[in-house]
Amino acid sequence: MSSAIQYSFPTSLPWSEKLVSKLSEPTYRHAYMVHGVKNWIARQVRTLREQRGWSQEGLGQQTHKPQSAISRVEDPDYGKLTLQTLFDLARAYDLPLLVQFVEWSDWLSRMSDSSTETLQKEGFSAEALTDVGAGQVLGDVARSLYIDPFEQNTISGFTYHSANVGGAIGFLTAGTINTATVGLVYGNLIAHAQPITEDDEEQDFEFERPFHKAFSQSLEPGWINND
Amino acid sequence: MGIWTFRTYVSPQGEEEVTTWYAAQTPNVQAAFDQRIRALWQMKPQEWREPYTKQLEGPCDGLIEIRFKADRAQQRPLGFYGPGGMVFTIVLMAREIGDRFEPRDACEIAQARKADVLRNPVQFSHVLAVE
Repeated sequence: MSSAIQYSFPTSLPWSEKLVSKLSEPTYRHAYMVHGVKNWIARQVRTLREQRGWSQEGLGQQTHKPQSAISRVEDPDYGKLTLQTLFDLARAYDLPLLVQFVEWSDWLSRMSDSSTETLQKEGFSAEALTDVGAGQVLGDVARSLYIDPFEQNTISGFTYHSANVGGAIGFLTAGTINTATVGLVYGNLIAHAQPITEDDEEQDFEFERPFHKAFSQSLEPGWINND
Repeated sequence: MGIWTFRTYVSPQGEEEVTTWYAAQTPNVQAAFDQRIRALWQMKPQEWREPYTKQLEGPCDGLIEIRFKADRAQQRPLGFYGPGGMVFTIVLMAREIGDRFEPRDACEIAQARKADVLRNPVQFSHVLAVE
């Protein structure tokens, strides 16, 4: 059996080559970021409000602001949103606010999915914080690696290791860890693939987080869980 | 990951409305348009409401305006839902100045183009990629 490992760059990045070309122009790049943030914040404020079943007046009461102020905040073209207002909203929603400068790949990745489900967030829960399983942690890491954490294949009771790192994570999130040992050690994701045949070598893959390129390994059939 | 398909009106001469308009805009307007379309692309139908869009009445009955502001101008791409489900076709890139559209006969132009698209979607519209 060939032990060649083929690495390929992902074809599922959340941005297109055309967008990268546009972003190469500084004025457009900055404007793209500004309008992206405005759209996101306005939409998320509304989504979070509706998730809680509040009217604009209701959210206004929570934040000690008039309904008109809430309406402005929910307008993506409103350009005078302050950090204090965001703090007030965060208190009302019982959510933390993350404000930081990041690199473009990180920003584009984080901003790529603005679906309602992604914008909705739950308030504080001590139970949720203490019950964070490896699956959720690794799911977050998988997202930062731009790989699908739920991809997996099963053949005749064996877990066929398609060798996609996401697949390994998927196994762990599903509660099975036999296919590979995936751990989060000091912020680095380590995937250890277990070969089944004597001729195959064990492989350790360590990725720094955040990692901007997903590795897609195409292992030969035969890399099957042997636990 | 978007749930909509956007289309742009194509004139009998083969000119794409949005593409032609886009090429003439500043980077700021282009970016604002791109981000607004991207946001709408992922919004459920019930989220397509003010301040992002508005259902029009009167001469523009049946048309929807996408609303965004850039370079101190109220941009108003006009379009309609269709042809087909989860499709929005932009037929005219208008602006709102005061309480009027520019061009003044935006509704009439948009309605005529909508009729063209519904009659022959392949000839009169192209898919618009979302960035």
